[in-house]
Amino acid sequence: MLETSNLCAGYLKDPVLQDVNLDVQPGEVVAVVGPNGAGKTTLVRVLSGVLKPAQGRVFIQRRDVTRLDHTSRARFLAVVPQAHNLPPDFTVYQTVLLGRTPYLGWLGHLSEGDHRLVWEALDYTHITDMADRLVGRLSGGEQQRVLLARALVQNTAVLLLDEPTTYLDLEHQSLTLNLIRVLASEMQKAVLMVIHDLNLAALYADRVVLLHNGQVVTAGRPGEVLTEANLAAVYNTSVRVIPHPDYGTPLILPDSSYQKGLLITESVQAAGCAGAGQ
Amino acid sequence: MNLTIRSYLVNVLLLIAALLLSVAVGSVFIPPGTFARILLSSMRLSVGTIDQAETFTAIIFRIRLPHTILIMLAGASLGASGAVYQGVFRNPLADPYLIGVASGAGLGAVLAMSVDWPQELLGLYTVPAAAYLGALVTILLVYQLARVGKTLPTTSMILAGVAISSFASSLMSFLLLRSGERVHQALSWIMGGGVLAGWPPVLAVIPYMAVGFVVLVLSGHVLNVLQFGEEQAQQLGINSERAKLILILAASLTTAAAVAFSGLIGFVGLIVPHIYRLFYGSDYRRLVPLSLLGGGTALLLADLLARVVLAPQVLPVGIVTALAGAPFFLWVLRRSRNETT
Ligand SMILES: Nc1ncnc2c1ncn2[C@@H]1O[C@H](COP(=O)(O)OP(=O)(O)OP(=O)(O)O)[C@@H](O)[C@H]1O
Ligand SMILES: [Mg+2]
Repeated sequence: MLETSNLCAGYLKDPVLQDVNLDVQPGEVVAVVGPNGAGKTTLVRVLSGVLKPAQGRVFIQRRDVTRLDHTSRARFLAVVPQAHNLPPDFTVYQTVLLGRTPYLGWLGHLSEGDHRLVWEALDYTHITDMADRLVGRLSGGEQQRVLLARALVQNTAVLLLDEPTTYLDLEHQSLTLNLIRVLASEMQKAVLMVIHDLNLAALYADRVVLLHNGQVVTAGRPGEVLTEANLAAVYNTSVRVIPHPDYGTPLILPDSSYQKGLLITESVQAAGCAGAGQ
Repeated sequence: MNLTIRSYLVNVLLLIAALLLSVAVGSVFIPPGTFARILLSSMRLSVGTIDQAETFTAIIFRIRLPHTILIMLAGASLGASGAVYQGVFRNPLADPYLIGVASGAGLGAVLAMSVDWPQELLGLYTVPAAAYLGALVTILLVYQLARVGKTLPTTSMILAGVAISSFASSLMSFLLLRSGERVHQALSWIMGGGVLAGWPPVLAVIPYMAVGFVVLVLSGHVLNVLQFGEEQAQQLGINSERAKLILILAASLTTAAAVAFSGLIGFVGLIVPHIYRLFYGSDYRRLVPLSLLGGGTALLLADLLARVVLAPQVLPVGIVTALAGAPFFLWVLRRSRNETT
């Protein structure tokens, strides 16, 4: 459903993404993981048409969306951006309603059907009782669900999420990811999500794409990609990977030099406190 | 929906009240009874059959009415374009003056006025066009100066706007003083005392404003989407570059028309949208039309003050908007801060 072929993109002179090939099938959830600066957000921006690719194509249902204008593309692909800097004085309802924009034209004339879709999406994401509250005054997790509802009313085949669990506590992490799974299977959406938490990726994704320096290192089932060797090479730190006691999915245990009694004190002194107390 | 209808109703009534007051009050006292009779008879009969010789009627229809309408249109332009600039730049400080558009328009207008046109009427119709050109050149300059890559950081935009604005104002003062106009007149134009008399200037600005108003009032939805930032706007299906261009062109068109025959009138474009945002929230589908109505009302009231405070002397209305506007604005800011904390 969502496919890229030899995608290259970057900013001005810096190339970031190189030869990225991906595919996501309907009903499937694919996680994109990788260290800071790997190019994950850049990938989201290229796929959603904010950044023009230097080379390569993005296909949705065999249509090259890099050639579409913003309005048409927004009918195929919706983005749940990281929730920050939302305008302070829009209500939840108004915000979700804006997801209908690709179907409305300049005047934004709304029909009964548009309002019905909004109530359905609010219901789906469990924020119906927040409809009249201001998005600027919600918690990060609540804002995330508002943006998810907004992406739902866009009624697209593909859903892109940039770090959907960053602001969420344990309960809301699993609620949100469960919801994403439900959306994928019930609405047969192709879901691509950028996520930092490797354990959550292992628990909720069908497949994982490991990105490093703008290139796909490996892609495949969580058990194949999230191995000690792969992670050590990409994240530049040693980790333990054990099978999850209940599900057998990979469970990633970070390393701790503190527990090993190997605190690296020199660099701390040099970086932070030298001269501060004198 | 209910709130929308009620807010429009209230603000239309306020505007009508301000219009009546503005026509009724002036240096020549017209008794309320006479005023009402003249208005009523003008509604029943066509203007032509009214006894033109009667001085009161002449004062009302030849002097006060065109003046009032020009002031109302200028205020409406500044209010609506202020709201739209604030929305496009996502900055509550963006107003036609701060980003330099008004001064650029003023410079264009002064240039056109200093030319000896073969026909007076031709000159009259050229002034708003020249003001528009001045506004566009300014915006282009500010944009080029403030641009960083493909983005337009607000601080650098406002810095560039202020710089260009003071440059244009100085050039404008220079031209005005050199053109042999008396210093007093030139100064008064810059301070918003340049309101031209009679019907021709009203007719000259109406085409510009009509186009501008229609575009601005119909752009509420797009402005709402733009509030989420350029990236999200694109992901929601708005071509944000093009939308911003259209909005800036339309807002500058109305600003230029307002400046052309009224001089530089500050603060209306800044304050009016703020007040409406406090009362009715910042849904731009409602905010832009309300700022348009409220801008007209506010400038009419300011102009009324300007005419009566030192009567029979008339103050430049820009002085009143600044004198009344600045403290009022500070009060509103304080109030809104207390509410949110
Ligand atoms: N607007 C920009 N202009 C220039 N370079 C950029 C821009 N945005 C990102 N980059 C660079 O592109 C590279 C990839 O950045 P990107 O934001 O895609 O990383 P990421 O994988 O999302 O990282 P993180 O995990 O920290 O969110 C980085 O080296 C970054 O410095
Ligand atoms: Mg990122």
